[in-house]
Amino acid sequence: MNSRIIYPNDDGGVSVIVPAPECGLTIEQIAAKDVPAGKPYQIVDVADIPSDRTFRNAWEYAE
Amino acid sequence: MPLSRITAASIADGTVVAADIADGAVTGPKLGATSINANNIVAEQITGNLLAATTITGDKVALVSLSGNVIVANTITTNLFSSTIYASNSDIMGISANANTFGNTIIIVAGNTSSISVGDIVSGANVFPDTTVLSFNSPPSNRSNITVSKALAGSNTNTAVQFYSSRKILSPGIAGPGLCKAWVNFNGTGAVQIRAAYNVSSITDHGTGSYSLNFTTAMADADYAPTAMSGPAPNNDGCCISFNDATTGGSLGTGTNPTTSALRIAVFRTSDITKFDVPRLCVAIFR
Repeated sequence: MNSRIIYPNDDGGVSVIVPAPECGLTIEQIAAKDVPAGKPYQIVDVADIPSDRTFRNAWEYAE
Repeated sequence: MPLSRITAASIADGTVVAADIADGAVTGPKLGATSINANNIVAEQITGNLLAATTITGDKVALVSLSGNVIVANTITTNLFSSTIYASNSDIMGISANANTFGNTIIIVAGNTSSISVGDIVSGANVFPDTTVLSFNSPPSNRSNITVSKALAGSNTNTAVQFYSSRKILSPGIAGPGLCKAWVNFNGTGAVQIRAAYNVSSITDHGTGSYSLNFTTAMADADYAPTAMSGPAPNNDGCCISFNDATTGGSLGTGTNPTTSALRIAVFRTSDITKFDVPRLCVAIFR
């Protein structure tokens, strides 16, 4: 699955949900189940997530 | 009258007995019924696709021998099989003994082996998978001198061996509590990616060394037991995995308590208790 789900976390950063391959759920079903209730979220392409994690805790969620 | 015209109501009890039906006189499917009640089928031998039913309840089939696709049913209820063929907890644990082992021979030196049977699966040091009990040697009655189906990889003295029945049905109710309920193997570096998983719909990357496992099917409660392994840590450092719950605190920060649907964990170096990203993180959940 080449999609990721991002949402703002309680530490002021951004959490990234990585779907399991062949888990039997769609990305929308995973978002409905695994994003904390009340949090805004976006479904993005994996290429939109930086692979350089040097400043991982400084990532911010943009609407 | 064609056989298809005969109905149960037109056959009085005892009117038709096996001797009246010549071999091969009836061809094609022999019995098709939506429901079978009472002791309607009693046979010494059934072969081929002779019984197809939507529902079978009660003690309907008593047979000496079955072969082929004899019973095909959507629903089977009520003691269709004898309870003695289901594995018990002790069957799951197996029979443990100490033995001298060499060649195809196991000589029991300690342990109660009275329940060992021909066909039992054997495990232990130098025992190959799928090795079974072939026979009991002299005297067969005490079952302490055993020939197994595969030559052992080496000899051992007074080593632990286990015997497990190969003729019991494993019921989910017995095996369930001992089974792994969820597991995942993922890469926490670069573009974080799950390599393989079972009952894990996703992981959540919260930040450096901070992840949640999200279960596809929720656990019964939050009292499950996670076990985990990760690595490698850079510079030959140590690597630890911890719950990252609401009271963790310190340099690991506070996270979320385990729930039925998710488990939050932190990965940190032992040298300075600092979270870091790890290339291989594996977690399994038992409940």
